Amino acid sequence: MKPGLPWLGRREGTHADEPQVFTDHIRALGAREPLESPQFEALWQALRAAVRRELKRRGLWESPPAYLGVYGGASWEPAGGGKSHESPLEELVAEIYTYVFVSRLRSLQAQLKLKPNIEGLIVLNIRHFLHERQKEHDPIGSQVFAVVHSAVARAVEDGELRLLAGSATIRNDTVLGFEEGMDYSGRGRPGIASLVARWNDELLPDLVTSRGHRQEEIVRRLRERLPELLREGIGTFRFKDLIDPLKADVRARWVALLELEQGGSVPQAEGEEAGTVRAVDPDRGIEERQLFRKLAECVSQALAALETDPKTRGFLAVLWQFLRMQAAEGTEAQPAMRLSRTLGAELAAGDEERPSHRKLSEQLRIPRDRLPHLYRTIGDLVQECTAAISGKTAVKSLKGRFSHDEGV
Amino acid sequence: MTKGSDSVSPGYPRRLEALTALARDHAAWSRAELERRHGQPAGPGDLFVLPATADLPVEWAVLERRPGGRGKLLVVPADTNPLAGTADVEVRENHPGGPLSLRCRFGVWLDSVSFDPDLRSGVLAPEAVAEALDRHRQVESGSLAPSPLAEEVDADPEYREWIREVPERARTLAASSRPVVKRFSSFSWGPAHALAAMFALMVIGLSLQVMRLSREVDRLSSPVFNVPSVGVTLGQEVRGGTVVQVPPEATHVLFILGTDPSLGLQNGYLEIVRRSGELVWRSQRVRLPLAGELPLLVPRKLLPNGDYRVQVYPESGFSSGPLASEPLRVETAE
Repeated sequence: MKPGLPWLGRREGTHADEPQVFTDHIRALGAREPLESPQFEALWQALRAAVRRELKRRGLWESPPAYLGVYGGASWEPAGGGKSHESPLEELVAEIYTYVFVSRLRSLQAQLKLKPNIEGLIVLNIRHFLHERQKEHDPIGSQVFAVVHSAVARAVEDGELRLLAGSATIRNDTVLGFEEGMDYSGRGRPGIASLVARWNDELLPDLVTSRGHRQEEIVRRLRERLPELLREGIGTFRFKDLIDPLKADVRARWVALLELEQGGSVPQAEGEEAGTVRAVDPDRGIEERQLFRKLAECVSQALAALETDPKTRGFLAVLWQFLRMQAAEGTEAQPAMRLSRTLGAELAAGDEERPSHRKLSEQLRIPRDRLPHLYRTIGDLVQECTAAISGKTAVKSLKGRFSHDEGV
Repeated sequence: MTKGSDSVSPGYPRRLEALTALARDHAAWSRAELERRHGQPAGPGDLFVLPATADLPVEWAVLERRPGGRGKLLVVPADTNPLAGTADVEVRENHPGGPLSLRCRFGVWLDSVSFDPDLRSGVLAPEAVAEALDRHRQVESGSLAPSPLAEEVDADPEYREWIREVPERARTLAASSRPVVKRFSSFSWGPAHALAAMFALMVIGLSLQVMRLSREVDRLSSPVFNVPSVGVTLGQEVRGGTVVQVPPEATHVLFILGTDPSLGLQNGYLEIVRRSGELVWRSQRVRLPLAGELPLLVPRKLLPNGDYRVQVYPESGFSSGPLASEPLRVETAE
């Protein structure tokens, strides 16, 4: 069985005579001599290879680059050759270089005071970058992963599922089984797709919209369904065999909904024109993400403090999580602006029922006639929070100020 | 600046040159900051790396000195994983020492001599120290203020795994490490005298340490027979608590720990604290078996006669207070 955190294994397996291109680069950045071009070329190639490897490991190589906030291309590398330095992969590598070798240089140099080599730590930082980006730009995929991972881990702790092969911590390649010694044939598990579609009939929208402390409940509900795999004749499976069809089914249902709501398209792996990569200025990207995080924190806190009945609070929480995800997913880099635009369109429509509400009501399980009021409440909160943030008012000052009664 | 950078990754040389220059600016700024603190003893705001946690990707942030001196510093582990839960404080990228996540749930008091001035690695702004100290106190008092987004991070399995594998292990390693004294006072002697005295002290100190360790190894290499034992099941009603009568010659006490099924716990943390609240021992996150299935051998010297509490905490951690707490008195048997 492989060790839990992979950098441990990597560090233990690293010898003094192995190439240390990342470590050497960190040392060179701390020295005063100019960097040699061949060394930099070697560093760049090694970084590109490491990023490509990690994208594949996380199952992101086949996904649209927009899932990681790189816009303008349908795949990581141009299919017919083209200028590779303009590819989304190259754009991502440049961002990762900044994240690791510029922003975290001090911390990495600190580790060099005690460690002869920090190759594994560079890979670890690449993973942190990808995880953070995926959470921000692929909130549906990240959320489904978190719930399924927790439910499976719970079943392992309870002794119902066993880790049969692969990583000791649950990863895509981990083989799980209901009994010790069961064989995994390695042919995938096509039967899982129809089973998880039935689960999703019951688990959505909570599977996607239950966050924070509310997530526990949906983890429990999914955990209770896992024994159905065995009843369907699936005694062993890779974690990937379970998570991939579950994600695909959720996406299939939600992508249609998101498209309908925003009147545009969300990232698609296929059928998208490959164009010039839009290089988002990393500093601007960070600012926009921080602004959206502050806004999300503020609105979530205000919703929690809202004086209303539990049912309405539940509807508001579900709709708010949907709007958050809708703003973060997609082909645009400005989630806060996107959220404002969606809410603006809803508020402009007033109490008039919009065609998209029917589908939304079905998927979110919110009565259709309540949607306009719910949108208005969230719209008010977003406006108040935006004003508070831009005016540098303390976010906490908004707590408890909202009181929406039955009119919601 | 790169030499001959035209050949580097066509299309990007200027951008890469700019990035490299930026990285070097950061490095120079950090170096200057460290040089300003050179030779000063460890104090609040300092970041250090510790040999005891060299296997982990952490630094240690000093938050405060123990009131009344005694050379103890409150420190928390800090790392570059950007996931920050309810008990963590984020130091942003454009702030001194950042980006870092200060893991305030895992604070520990360490001897100031544990911090080698040569291993100082950075400096935090006073505001970040104040925020981290406040967060640490909230954790300790169980009054942590909820934050919706941080709660989402708490539920993230990658975050949970990180916390378990890195800051939690770091605290255990740091708390069990012994400080290595590297600095000696030279009074007003000349350098040669001071050096000679240093060597003499080092030789004496090392000899004593070696003798002590040698005795310890000899003692621990022998079987420990007839260890006094006590069963503690947390969550059961026990009137008046448990009394352990330890024979005068006993070197260890064996605890057989467990939880009552009524608690409904599968995983959690166990700890033993003195009546004053001072920590004697704390487990990592463990699977909690039913009554009497988890043995713990504690050296008698960690358990002087007195009153203690054996406690169990839920999987979510220490912020919500113990789920069950069992009073325990340790006495020397007549």
